[in-house]
Amino acid sequence: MGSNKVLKKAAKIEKKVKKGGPGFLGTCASHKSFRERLHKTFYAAAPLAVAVFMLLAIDLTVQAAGERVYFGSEGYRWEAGVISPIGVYAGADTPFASVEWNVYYDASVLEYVSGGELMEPGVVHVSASGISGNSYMQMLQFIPRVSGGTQIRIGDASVTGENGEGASNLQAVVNVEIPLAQGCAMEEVRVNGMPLEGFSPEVTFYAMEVAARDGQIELEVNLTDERTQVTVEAGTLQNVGNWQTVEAADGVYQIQLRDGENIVHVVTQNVSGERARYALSVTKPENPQVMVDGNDGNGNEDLRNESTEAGDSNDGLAAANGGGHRPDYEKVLAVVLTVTVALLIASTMFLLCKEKKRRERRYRLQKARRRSGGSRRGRGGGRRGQGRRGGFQTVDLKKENPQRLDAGRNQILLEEPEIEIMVEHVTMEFKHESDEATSIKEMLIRTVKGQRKVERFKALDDVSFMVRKGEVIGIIGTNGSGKSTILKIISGALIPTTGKITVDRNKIQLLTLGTGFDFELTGRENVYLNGSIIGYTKEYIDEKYEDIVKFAELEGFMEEKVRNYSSGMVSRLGFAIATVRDTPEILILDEVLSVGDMFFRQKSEARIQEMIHGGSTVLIVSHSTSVIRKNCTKVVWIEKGILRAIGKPGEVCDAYEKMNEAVK
Amino acid sequence: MTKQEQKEQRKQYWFVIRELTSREIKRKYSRSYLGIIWSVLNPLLSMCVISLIFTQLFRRSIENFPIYYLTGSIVWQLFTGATNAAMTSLVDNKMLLIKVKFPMDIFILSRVYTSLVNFLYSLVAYVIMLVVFRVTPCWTMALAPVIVLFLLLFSLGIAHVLATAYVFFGDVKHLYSVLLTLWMYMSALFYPVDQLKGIVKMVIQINPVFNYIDCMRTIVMKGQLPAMTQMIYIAAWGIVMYLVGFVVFNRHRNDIMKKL
Repeated sequence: MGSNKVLKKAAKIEKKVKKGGPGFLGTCASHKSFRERLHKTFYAAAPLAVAVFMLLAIDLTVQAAGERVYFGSEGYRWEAGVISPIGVYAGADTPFASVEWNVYYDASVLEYVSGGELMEPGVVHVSASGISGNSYMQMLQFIPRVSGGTQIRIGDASVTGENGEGASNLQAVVNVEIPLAQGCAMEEVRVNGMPLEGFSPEVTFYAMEVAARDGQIELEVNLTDERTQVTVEAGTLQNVGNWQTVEAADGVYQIQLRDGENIVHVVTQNVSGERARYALSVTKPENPQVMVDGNDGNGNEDLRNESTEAGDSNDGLAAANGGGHRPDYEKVLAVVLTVTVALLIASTMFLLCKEKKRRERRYRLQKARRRSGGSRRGRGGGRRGQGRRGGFQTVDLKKENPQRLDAGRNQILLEEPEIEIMVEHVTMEFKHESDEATSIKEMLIRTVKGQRKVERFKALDDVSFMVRKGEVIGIIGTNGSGKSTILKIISGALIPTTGKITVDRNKIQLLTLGTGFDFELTGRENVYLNGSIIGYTKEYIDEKYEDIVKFAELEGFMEEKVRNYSSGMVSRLGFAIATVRDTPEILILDEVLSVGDMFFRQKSEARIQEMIHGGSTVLIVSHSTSVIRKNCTKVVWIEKGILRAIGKPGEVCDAYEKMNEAVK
Repeated sequence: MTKQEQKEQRKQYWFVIRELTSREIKRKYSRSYLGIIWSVLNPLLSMCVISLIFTQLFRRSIENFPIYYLTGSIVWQLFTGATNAAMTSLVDNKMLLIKVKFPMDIFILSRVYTSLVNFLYSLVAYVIMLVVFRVTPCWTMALAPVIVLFLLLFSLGIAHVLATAYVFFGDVKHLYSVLLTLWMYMSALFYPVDQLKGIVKMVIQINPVFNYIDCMRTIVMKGQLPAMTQMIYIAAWGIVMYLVGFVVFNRHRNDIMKKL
């Protein structure tokens, strides 16, 4: 592209901007090639970059300052009955000001001595502030009372810097071993008749899984010392306070299992009163296929483990860890969210790009419309021009017409064609409350007060007439005199209070303009929607689609939303859809012929004439007498619900006009 | 009317419903670029939000919270979507009502059907999430259509009643939206029912919508059949509600036309 050309184009655009109007953005989009390609690349790349960044950010924010809590040692080995110290630490990469945490221990095994603030048996609270280093240590002391193994856990820990930044919800866990007292060791443990896998007397913690359908396990215990007593307790981590003691039946302990993790404690007590405790964790999945413990083992990815010094706790101990037991929701959720956000951004950007094109198209459409409107006007003018002749012709026709119609009617009278619509003594009564309750509240109040005055309002009062096949009936009357009501009754939408209507409703085709269009849909979609509603089958619409478009003169606009149509276009389309049916046997036109532009009116009147000659029965509702005079063979005048006159168009219309003038 | 004509009429009836439905859907998304994809995204997003908030709270008591929520949510959406849209269907289509040659029910029916189509789209999201959270398919899931069918009957019944009422009183719309909020909290969408006690629990267990949700959860998450009594309960609610709606609507059919 030569730079000259570009300059010219730019100048053009500038002019357009000065003119204003929707053309501006539209023309901008025609600056194709390089810039657009650049934009496209950017639009594609930006969301990707954002997505990647967000994925990274999720990891980064958690790790940033490296706050952690940990124990002084990887594991402890304490003697029963001896005061034993344990150091709990908090650390970070940068100096921090205050720390706070809870230390959880098993109160049935350890006795708390000192070092923090005892909240309740099993929980010691530690907090400190005014620290200005990047590590902090607190020494706690416990006395082991029961031998075996136990765990001490730091939970709910938070490390806060001077400016309030920091990390919370840190955790750590450590194992404590207390050598078994004399004679407390078990020799063998059998679960459901099978020896417990990996059992050795010195190890006091075991974990196993059972199938989801197992409701219980059977536990058998053999001891090294005959005199040692055994108690078995079972329960879950959630209800630590009230575990059940299980009694042996024939040396077999039957333990009921719940869904999730169950803990079984076997406490042995030797002759000298010293106790030891073995723990067995039994996991019963709720649904056998639900993935469990995706965490343990790959501590690298698990954020919680990362903040834990004693991260590689073994499987069984994971129970006390707060349960590494369900799939990693946060991660999945984060990914889903990220993808969605990325999608959103992508679509917004795409939209922005698209909007430009759309505006351009709309602009084109508008221009086309203006042009077609102009040309139509032109054409109309042309018609007017050439047709002084045309006008005369219609006048001639009119002159001829009554005679012809009269002749036709005489013929009709002679032949007495079948009666198509029979309206017999129809009365339509509306219950009208004096001022209508539109809300339940109002209605209730009125009902309670007895104020519900019901006014009966007769929209139609004893109206009778009949329509023979092939007649063109005009119904006139001032606004609100019941014209539409009679139409609704004839088309079957309303059932009259008294009286009878005889008509084959399948033959009726009702045409009112501008109704039933959905402005958010395209012309094409509206053709199908409206067609289906007035009873065309899909095949029929498929077949006639081209005809409809052609008659409505909307070629090229059918994929455009009706919202963007002019009102003339809408009425043309409505008319085309309703009259495409070869000859609807009864056609009802509700104020159709008095609207629309000149051209459309001529065309539609021609179509109506065609239908009349094709043998359709037509009902035209209008309050304009000129339309009625021109087209009808018989006129029904309804005034305030009462049938005033039936007769020849000329006479009835004269009377009607006279009354109107009198009113004025 | 001959059989042939009846058949044709039914075909036409179906065509109208499909056209109306496609209009509803196109209309709903006519200004959005992603369009129908929103039907898939919406439940996913709300699942994310709710899960992020509540997983911490209900960690212990609900296994697989996202699926628990999503199951409830899509069933709930089907119900509210259907009833809410159908409520205004008669008033919205005032103009078409006079033209149409079918019973007016067709508009209510089409809105409910729209909601069903929407539901089917969200099922896509649901199935994806089932795979992500590794819920294995089991044969009991085949029962889902039956539950959905009863739920549809139930919704249709309510929709008929609401649509009738809305013609006469515009307030119904606002009243119903308040009622729906209460109803939602009573349907245990995002909390476990076991922990509740007393009258609240009783109300929830009577609540038919909760029973539909609960059945759905049972067959999908636990892979078990719901209790026979519960199945009968939901079936009865569906059928009875449908009949009630039908009777109410038919009785006021002419009044509706007069009013409009």
